[in-house]
Amino acid sequence: MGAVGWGLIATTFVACFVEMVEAATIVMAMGFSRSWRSAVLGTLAAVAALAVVTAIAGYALATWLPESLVQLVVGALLLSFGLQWLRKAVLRSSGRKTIHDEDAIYREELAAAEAAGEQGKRVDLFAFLVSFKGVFLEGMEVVFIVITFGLNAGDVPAAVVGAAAAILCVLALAVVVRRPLSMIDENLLKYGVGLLLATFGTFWAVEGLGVFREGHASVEWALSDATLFVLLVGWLLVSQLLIRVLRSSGPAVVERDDREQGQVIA
Amino acid sequence: MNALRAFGRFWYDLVVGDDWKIPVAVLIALVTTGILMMLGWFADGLLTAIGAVLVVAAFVLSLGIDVRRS
Repeated sequence: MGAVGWGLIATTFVACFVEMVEAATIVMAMGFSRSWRSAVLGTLAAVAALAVVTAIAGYALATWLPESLVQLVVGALLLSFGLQWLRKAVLRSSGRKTIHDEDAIYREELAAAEAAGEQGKRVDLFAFLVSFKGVFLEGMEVVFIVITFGLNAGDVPAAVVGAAAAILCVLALAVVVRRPLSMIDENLLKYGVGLLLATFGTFWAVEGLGVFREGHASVEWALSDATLFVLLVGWLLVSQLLIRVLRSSGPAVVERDDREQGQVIA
Repeated sequence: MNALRAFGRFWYDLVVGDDWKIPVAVLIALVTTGILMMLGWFADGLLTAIGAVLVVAAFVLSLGIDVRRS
């Protein structure tokens, strides 16, 4: 397996791991406070819906679009995702944004579950819907990453293996610790995923511009697949430089997410 | 109508995220590289390098605007 194959598995694994940690927090809050049965049913329904979306979107992209157009669309989407993650990582690491706090989110979900009141039915609709929504929304980004990486690398099964392995790891961890997985350095993982998405996104988006020239042949990077390593190092250096510059440039004004509470990274 | 709005909001959040400047930066960098490609001034090897530099520069610029505003 080449650089693209290993990068594919690593990226889908880490991206899926991060998103599933967030989803697990929501499902655990519903399970502990209301009904495990409903929380698990909501999770299974969301996973089934995600599988359908993956199959339909994957088939449509692979069947209807020429290769260079897929590279361009996919690359641009990955760049957009990846640079958003990288932006947050840079702002967090430089103390300008609050870090993601699973414990705080767990407490929020728990309070909402308790405020919703008892339902006394076989399936607790509140726990079902909140679990479904949490897993589906967090999973959509993973679906895009799996489809886009899989199609562009010509190896959808490898992308699915990476994502499935991550889901199993998060499930095993959640069963063992039985509390929010706040011990995981999610921000560091997101930084890593941001770097990988930005790397592959740059690679494929620029290649895909070839769709606009005669013959629609992809634009060729000088070092072929080895360029991926150069791009990864480049994004790493640029992001580290930005962190250092932002840290040293005066007092930080902290940006907060609606969903994310917590302390600022020192 | 509410469902339609929620659907639109979901896709906006997914593609654009919480900073619209990032997709705009990506678009500007790719459009510029595309124009350079159509002009035919550079071989593929150099064109791809220019494209990568433009993407990085657009990202740094969008982050710079963020920080200056705050």
